[in-house]
Amino acid sequence: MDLDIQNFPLHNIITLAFYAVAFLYVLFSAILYYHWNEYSVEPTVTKTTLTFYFISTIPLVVIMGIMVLII
Amino acid sequence: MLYEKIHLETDEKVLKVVRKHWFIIVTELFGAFLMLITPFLILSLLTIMPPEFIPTHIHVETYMPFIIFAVAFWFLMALMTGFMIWTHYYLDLWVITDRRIIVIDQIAFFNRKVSSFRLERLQDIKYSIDGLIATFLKFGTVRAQTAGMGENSFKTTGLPDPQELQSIIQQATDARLQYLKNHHNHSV
Repeated sequence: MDLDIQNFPLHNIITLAFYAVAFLYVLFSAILYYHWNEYSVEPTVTKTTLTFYFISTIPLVVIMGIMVLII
Repeated sequence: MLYEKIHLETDEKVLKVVRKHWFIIVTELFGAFLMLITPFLILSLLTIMPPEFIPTHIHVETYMPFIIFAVAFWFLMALMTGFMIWTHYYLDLWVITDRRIIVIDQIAFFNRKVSSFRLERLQDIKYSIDGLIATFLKFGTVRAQTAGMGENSFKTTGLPDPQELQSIIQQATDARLQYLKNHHNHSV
């Protein structure tokens, strides 16, 4: 079946983009978490880095999700 | 944690843990920072742009959710890049103990090289400081040459105070050789 790009709703594109970004984010977060827990020598630095990472990035993913619902 | 993975021997003391100089991480993070401020730069350019260059038929309010989505995506990518750089910087280190040197090269995620060699095998330790910034901020390249087959040379760039590092390794090597000599004499 041919995909009609002209009539493809923008909402669907944005939703697909959001799913792709969310998947990438979860994958990257898992890799980052694994590396810090496996190879770091200082637990305090690990904790600070991971806390700062999740505090700064989760709101952005949430904002993107809200925008998908609005669009 | 890493020390358990390395399996330090009984009574083995960590003398120094060395990471690359702060200038290296600042330089690398600068790219991510530029990426982070790009939306603000574009916004500033739009505000100072003469009105005739701004298309009036576009209603910004209509596209606001798209703009917010795009900016949030951009920030997320910049932050992920920044944390990736920080992770590579932090997990890349030299651990100097009173018995050996462990060189960990965190090249990328899933690309990690860990080399360990005993101080008694150390043949030569060299450092070089190359360039104006490196001279002022005191960072450089440290090379360690060991005796034996296979890979016997370790090199890391951008290490802080390489002269002090060389001195610490040299003192630790001398102390180790002295200890082994005394131990050997006692056992004979």
